[in-house]
Amino acid sequence: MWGKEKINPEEALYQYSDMVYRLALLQMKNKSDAEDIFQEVFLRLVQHQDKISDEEHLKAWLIRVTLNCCKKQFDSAWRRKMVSMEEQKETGYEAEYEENVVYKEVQNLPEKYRTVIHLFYFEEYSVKEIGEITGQKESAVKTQLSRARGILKEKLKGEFGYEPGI
Amino acid sequence: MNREYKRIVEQQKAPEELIEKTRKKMKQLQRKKKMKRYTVVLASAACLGIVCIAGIQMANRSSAGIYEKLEAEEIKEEEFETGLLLGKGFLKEEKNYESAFHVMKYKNIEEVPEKVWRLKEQEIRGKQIRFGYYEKEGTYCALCKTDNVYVYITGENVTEKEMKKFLEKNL
Repeated sequence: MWGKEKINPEEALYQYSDMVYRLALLQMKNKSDAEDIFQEVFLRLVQHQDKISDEEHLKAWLIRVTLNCCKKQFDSAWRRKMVSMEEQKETGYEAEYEENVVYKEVQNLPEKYRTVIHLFYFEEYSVKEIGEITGQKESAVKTQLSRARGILKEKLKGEFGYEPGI
Repeated sequence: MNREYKRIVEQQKAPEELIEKTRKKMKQLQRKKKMKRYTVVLASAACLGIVCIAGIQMANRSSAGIYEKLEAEEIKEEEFETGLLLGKGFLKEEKNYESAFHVMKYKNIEEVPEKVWRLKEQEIRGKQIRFGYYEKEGTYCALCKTDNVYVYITGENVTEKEMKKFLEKNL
């Protein structure tokens, strides 16, 4: 109870704020929900900081908690009663940031696919690391990546043509 | 496409107001956690303190009870403050007896042996004393009250004269 806490939550907030925010925004597709998720993640960090052993563990922990909070938000009854995305567009993400087809198509992917795409291409985690973070087997992650690439390739064929990167 | 995706995502930054609002809430939560820890420690210390005090008081009470009981028995061996010679009385002038006389002091009347109250009262040296002889035990007994203390004296294997002489000497 009196042991030295290994993680400083305030430092973690400044260091990983963008990472958590981006992931929440990708999952929730709107700024308001993303901000709620953001706060919840860091408050949970304060409550559970004793369980985090080091910096590497902290980053993976934050990503996992962000994904879990987003999933919980999706599943809540309150969420089901929310107005549809089409009605929210005017005050949603699109009004804040540059319109981008690629990002839009990634956002439109099924939840698990957009998670692996983001973690692989933006956060630059390996397939093994993504598996550990999301609690899935490597083979499952590879399958999801492959399918996600296929969907994006199909959707963006007209825009960019085939690129070896995806 | 990968580059494009990265470019767009890099533009997304957590708003400063959001970070500040979150930081304040985190501080509040940390303070609450600390208070909770202190409360638990204080409550545990208080419980422990209560248990220790109760234990000490119980120990004192029971030992005091023993002490009061012993006090009555020990008087057989020691001098009695009211001026009576307590403990073993030796009849040095006439006979040499060991443990001839025993003197017991009681604070409460309930502690006095019941059989003594059946003895008749006599006046010895201006004091009313219950005095009698128990044939079975071969013992003379006397009971008187001095300074709110009940003094019970027995004399084994002595004559009535010797018993009364002892009482006259010590009352």
